[in-house]
Amino acid sequence: MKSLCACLLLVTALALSEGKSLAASSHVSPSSAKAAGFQGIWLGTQGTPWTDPRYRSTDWSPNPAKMFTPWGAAESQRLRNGPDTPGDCEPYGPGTMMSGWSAFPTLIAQAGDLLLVTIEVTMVPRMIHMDRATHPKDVDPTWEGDSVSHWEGDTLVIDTVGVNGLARPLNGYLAPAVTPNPGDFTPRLPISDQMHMVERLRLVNPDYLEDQQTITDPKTYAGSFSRTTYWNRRPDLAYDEFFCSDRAQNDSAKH
Amino acid sequence: MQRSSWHSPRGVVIAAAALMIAQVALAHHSFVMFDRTRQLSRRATVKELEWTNPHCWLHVWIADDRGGVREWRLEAGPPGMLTRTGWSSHLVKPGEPVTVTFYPMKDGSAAGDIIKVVLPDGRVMGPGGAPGPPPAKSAHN
Repeated sequence: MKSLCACLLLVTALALSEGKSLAASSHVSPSSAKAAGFQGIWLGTQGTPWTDPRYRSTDWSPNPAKMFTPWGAAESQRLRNGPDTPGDCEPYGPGTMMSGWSAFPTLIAQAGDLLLVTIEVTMVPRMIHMDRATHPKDVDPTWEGDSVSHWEGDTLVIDTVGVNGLARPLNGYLAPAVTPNPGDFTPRLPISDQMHMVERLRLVNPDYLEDQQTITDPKTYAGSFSRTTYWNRRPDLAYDEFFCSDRAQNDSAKH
Repeated sequence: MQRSSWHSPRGVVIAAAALMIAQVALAHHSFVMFDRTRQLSRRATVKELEWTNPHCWLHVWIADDRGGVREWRLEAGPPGMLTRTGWSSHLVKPGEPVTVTFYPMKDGSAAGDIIKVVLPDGRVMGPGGAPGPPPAKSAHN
């Protein structure tokens, strides 16, 4: 019930934030009805040895860290050097949200022709429009950008542009200076406001969701790179509320 | 809804591994202030469980070496993570004795990063982590 309430509140809030009435957004075109199977609570398969090994997420390929532009290299280094950059509560961008992490549940809900995707630990959901396949001429930058889509069979092909470039890097924002694992010198993978992500989202079976992602970001990377991530359907999990700033933003700074 | 998976060795290993992944990628602030080369284990008395986002804090009283007591602030995961690993906001109550194990602060201040908390009934609680496997009836392995 708690999850259902959270879902309904989310749908309501997002529909209103889109400037639509719920009545308007409750319209479901015949093609959007195919998204019903995406709905539910999911858990990424990363670090879940009990899940089907056929559905384990892959790393980005080719390695984005080998393709930095000068700006990308400098930005990656800036993030590595922390501390706490760009900040504590920045939302995840669309690429980061679709990483298939298992630490927190992912919630997918449908409001008419709008598909809503969010992971418990971030406060800004993705809104994927299923009633248009092209972006507005001038997209205002946002944390999650403008996501449009079309169907190819049972696969929802999602195209995202218009991010503000301020969200956490694709592999989280934590630099070695701030990670609990002192040996983590993994290069940060920033994204800029020029990021363009194309995804192919589909149910491989009722219990597993697959998302093939390809990113180009000419400001940050000299070439495109791709990966495939998976989630396991988990109706047994509670999806709790999360508001990053309930406490002071950097609670440890109070020491 | 899923609750504790900490009470089996498998659950502890899975949750610890998943938490490490989660902390690397998802933590909301720097962990650099914690000395992860040292672990302290102390008998303590609960003052308060601060059940709040982005991370919960367990406030305890710990005896110092001068015959007094000192308040320590010990950090755990977000409420959602704790809930899915057996915690609730009412799990511990003020005045209850617990044994806390944590990474202390590098600067010596009275705070730390929780590794585990042993409750009065012997249950061992972790700092929060990723969910464990689904219930057996819907397991896929």
